[in-house]
Amino acid sequence: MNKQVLLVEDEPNIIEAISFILSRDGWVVKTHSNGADAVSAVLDRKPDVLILDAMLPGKSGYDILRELRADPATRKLPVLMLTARGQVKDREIAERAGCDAFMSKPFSNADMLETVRSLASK
Amino acid sequence: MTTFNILVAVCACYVLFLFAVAFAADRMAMQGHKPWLRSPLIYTLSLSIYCTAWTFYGAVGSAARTGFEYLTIYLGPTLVMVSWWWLLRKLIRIGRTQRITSIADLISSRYGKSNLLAAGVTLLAVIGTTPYIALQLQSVTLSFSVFVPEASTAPDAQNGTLALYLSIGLAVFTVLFGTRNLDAKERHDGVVMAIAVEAVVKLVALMSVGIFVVWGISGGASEALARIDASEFGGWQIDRSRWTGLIFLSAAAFLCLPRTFQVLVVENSNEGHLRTASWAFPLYLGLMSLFVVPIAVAGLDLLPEDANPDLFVLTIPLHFGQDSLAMLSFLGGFSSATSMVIVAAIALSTMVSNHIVMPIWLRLSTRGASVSGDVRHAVLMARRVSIVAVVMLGYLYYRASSGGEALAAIGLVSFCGLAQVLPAMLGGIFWRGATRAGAFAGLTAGFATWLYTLYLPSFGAGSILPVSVIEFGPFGVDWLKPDALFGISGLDRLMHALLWSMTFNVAGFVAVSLLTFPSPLERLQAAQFVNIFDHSASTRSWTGGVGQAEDLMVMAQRILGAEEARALFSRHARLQGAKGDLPYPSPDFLEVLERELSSSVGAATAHAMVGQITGGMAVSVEDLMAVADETAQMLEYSARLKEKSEELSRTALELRNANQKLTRLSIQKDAFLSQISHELRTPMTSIRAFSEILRDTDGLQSADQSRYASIIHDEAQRLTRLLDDLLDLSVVENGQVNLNLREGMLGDVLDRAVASAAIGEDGARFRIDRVPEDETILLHTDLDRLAQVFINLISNARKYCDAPDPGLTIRVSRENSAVIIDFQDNGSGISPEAADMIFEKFARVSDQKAGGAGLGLAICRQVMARLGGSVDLVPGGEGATFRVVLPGPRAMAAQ
Amino acid sequence: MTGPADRPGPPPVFHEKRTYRRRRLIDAARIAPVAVLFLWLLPLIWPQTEGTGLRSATALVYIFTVWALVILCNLVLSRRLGSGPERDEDAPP
Repeated sequence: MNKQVLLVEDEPNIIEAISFILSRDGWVVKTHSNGADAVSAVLDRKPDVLILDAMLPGKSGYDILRELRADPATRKLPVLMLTARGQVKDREIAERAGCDAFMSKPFSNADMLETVRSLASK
Repeated sequence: MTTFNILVAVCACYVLFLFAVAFAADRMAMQGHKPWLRSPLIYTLSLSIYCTAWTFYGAVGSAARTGFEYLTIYLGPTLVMVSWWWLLRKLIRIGRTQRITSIADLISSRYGKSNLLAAGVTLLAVIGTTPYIALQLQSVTLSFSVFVPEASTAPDAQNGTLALYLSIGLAVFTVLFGTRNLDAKERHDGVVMAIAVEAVVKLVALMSVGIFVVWGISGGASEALARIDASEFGGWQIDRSRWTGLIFLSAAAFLCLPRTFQVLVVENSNEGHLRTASWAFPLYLGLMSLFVVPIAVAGLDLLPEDANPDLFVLTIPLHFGQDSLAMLSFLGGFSSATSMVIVAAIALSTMVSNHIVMPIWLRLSTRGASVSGDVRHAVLMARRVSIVAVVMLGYLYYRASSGGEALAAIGLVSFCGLAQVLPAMLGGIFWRGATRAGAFAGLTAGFATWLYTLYLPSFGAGSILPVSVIEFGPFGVDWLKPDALFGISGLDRLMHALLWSMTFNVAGFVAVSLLTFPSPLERLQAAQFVNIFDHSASTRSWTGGVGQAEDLMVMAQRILGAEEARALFSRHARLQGAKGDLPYPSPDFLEVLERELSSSVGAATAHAMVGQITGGMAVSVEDLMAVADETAQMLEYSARLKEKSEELSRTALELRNANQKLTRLSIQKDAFLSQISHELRTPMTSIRAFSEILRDTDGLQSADQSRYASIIHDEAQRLTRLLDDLLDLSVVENGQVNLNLREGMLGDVLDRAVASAAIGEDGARFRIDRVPEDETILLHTDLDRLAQVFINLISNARKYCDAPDPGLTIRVSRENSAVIIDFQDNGSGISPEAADMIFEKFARVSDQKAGGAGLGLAICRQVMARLGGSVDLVPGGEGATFRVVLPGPRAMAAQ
Repeated sequence: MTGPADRPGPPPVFHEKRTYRRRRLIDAARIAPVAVLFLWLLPLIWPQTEGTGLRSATALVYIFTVWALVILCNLVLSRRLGSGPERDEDAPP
């Protein structure tokens, strides 16, 4: 059975790009584009890996991550954070919030695939 | 026949009536009906407090015994009233401006607020007034005995009880209405009204008896005069020394008696009332004395030999069976007695509590006067206790003297004692050279002489002064005999005492005043009192006399130091060519002095001080002394320190604010950079991802290939737009943009904007409603920039309007010279939270890919600011309405 | 009342008529007590010998006539002076 990735991202073109990259590697990609109900979407879908954008309408990626880490069901869920503000400060905030991997946009497709794979095998 | 009980009942009813009057007056005063209560008529009537039971009954008695002498008692006060313009007006003005509460307060205040002096005058007043109160009690009990003959034969105890009840009643009345509040000016509306009512009762009673005697018994005015001529004092007989002396004495008493001073000065609410009183009170006195001689003559003619002439006013009506007239007359006498006791008790209690009880209380109270409520309570308590004490003292005196003949003579003895205050008082308000030591010396000398020559002997030889002293002088020194000082005998005892006490008083007062030097406070008060009309009148420029130069000198010495002040003054005296060291206080000199002083104590203080002395402005003396004293410079110094530290903390606050602003700016800058980074990286992410897909993916279908290529293309365009906007914004924000000012029609500009913005990428045309007639307005502005703003607003509306059938209405209107263009869409509008931030950079109302960077409105706002207008969101209304305001043609031309 | 030349506005020598009237009224108010005292001290020099002296009734009428005059004078003075300004222009400096 193929592993499942949930992508929470609001930019349609980026969703399409990531979906394309991961599907071709055999992942089942589910998407969600709103921050406000992202947490319940994660609990519903129970993905193997979560890719989370930092700037989302409704609720920031950092807040979503903190909530997930507070919940026992998702405490160990592997999370890759994406952010378009490539500042050092953003990486620190993301790590403190509890992400497993961090990538700043724009990213290389190969790196993205590699990171998701390594997260899934943890 | 009137019985004792009926009489008591009448008295009780009358007193209750007075209670009601006083209570009603107090109530009215509290409800603000002052004008009626404070009329000149009430003031005039209240002055009649001068006429006591002693004058009501005693005038007739005096007339029967000594002829016309009784007139002098009324002539003196009349003379004082004639002197209203230069004497009473001044006294009342001083009383009002200095907030005088009693005659003791007046003397104390004038002589540098000396409490010793005040206590002395208070003591004198108590000693002088107590017998007088006793006299009133006696007159009431005597008048009782007329109606109820058995009362005169009754044991003393019964009269005593009557007097006691009367005293208690009066004390209660006075406490109730005399100490209701601690009015700063010590006015008592209720009491004054009651006194005025009693004044009417007195006058009506005496005149009724008089009219009865002249027209009822004698048969007319001319017959009455004929009867006088035919009587035993038909020939003009007066004791010349007593005639003169008594006029003086009664005039002095009218000014100095605590009770008359109370109504004349303290209870005065309006100086204008004096004008009415100046003629109305002499009229009152004239009417009171008009029928005295006819009544006396009738009494002597018609009544038995042994009848007491003091009671003719009662006994004549009774003799003719006019019981109700007699009762009216009795009430007149009763009124005279009660009103005197009430006002005397108020006046004395004020003096006793203010000048004796309170100073002692404050000294004993370790906490001092820090708790104001406490002091207030204590003052009221002291005043109440003093009232009871004063009335009871009168009662005890009455009992001790057992109502004997000695009491009848006490009236004039009292007058003489209180007249001792006159030199200090008149000297104080007319002579600036009068000093505290002088006043004290004069008062002491006069008081001592009065005690020795008149007061103590009045108790009868052997009662207080041994017989040997009275007959042979103390230690046998013949020329010190109380009734014949310096061997001058043969004078009437009262006149003898008056002559010598006044002589010693005035001599001591003048001599010691000339020899001593007053304190600065005394000098200031002297200037205040003597020049009261300059000080309290409307402001003038600095003017003054040489006398003020001395005061200025004293003041300057205290502040500048003796040497420097003297040098300054003599330098200016030379400049003015004045003789001596004192310059004339010309405006020039005063200005120089004020400047000199202000370097030490500050400008405002210096001005106040100079103004105080030269009379230009009214500042209270306490205020002045507080700064004039040596501590003033310290105060000033600490005030400056305080000012400095306030300045420092102000600077610190400014720095803190500036820092906060910088921090805010820095945070804004960070946010801006981070936002730009996000806006740039987002399209770049798509571009990179899809270009890698195109590069790395084998066997991609051609439809996908072209689709991904177009995504890359769109995102690249988005990136370009963003960069254009950013550059545009930075150019407009920095004001580097060159405006290309041209003339053009508003309608044309709107046409251009609509043409380029109304058609979306999908080709659907956006419905736009316009009114072309309104748009024919000639503009002089940068038409391209204006079009850019319009395009932005129209395309925003097209992108964000969420109505099923989206549309935009453009309305043009003019307000004054400004042009207003409203862009209103038919969508759901913009939420209030969003409205706050849509003009901020990178703000976007919704989350969908509008394609813009969120800089549009920010740029619009900057552009409009450059064009001298504005763009705003109109709150409320249907849909979102943006309003562009362009300044009128003239204002635009100036851009 | 004469100061150096720099004194502001030395009092003018002539006043307009109303001011002049008012000043004379004030003079009258000042002199009145002296006049009244004189009139009431006159009885001191009246003959007092028994029988040949003045009759009491006459004396009484005299004194009360003066009294009435006093009341009348004060009535007039207070009315006239009251209508003017409150300040006492002639008050000594």
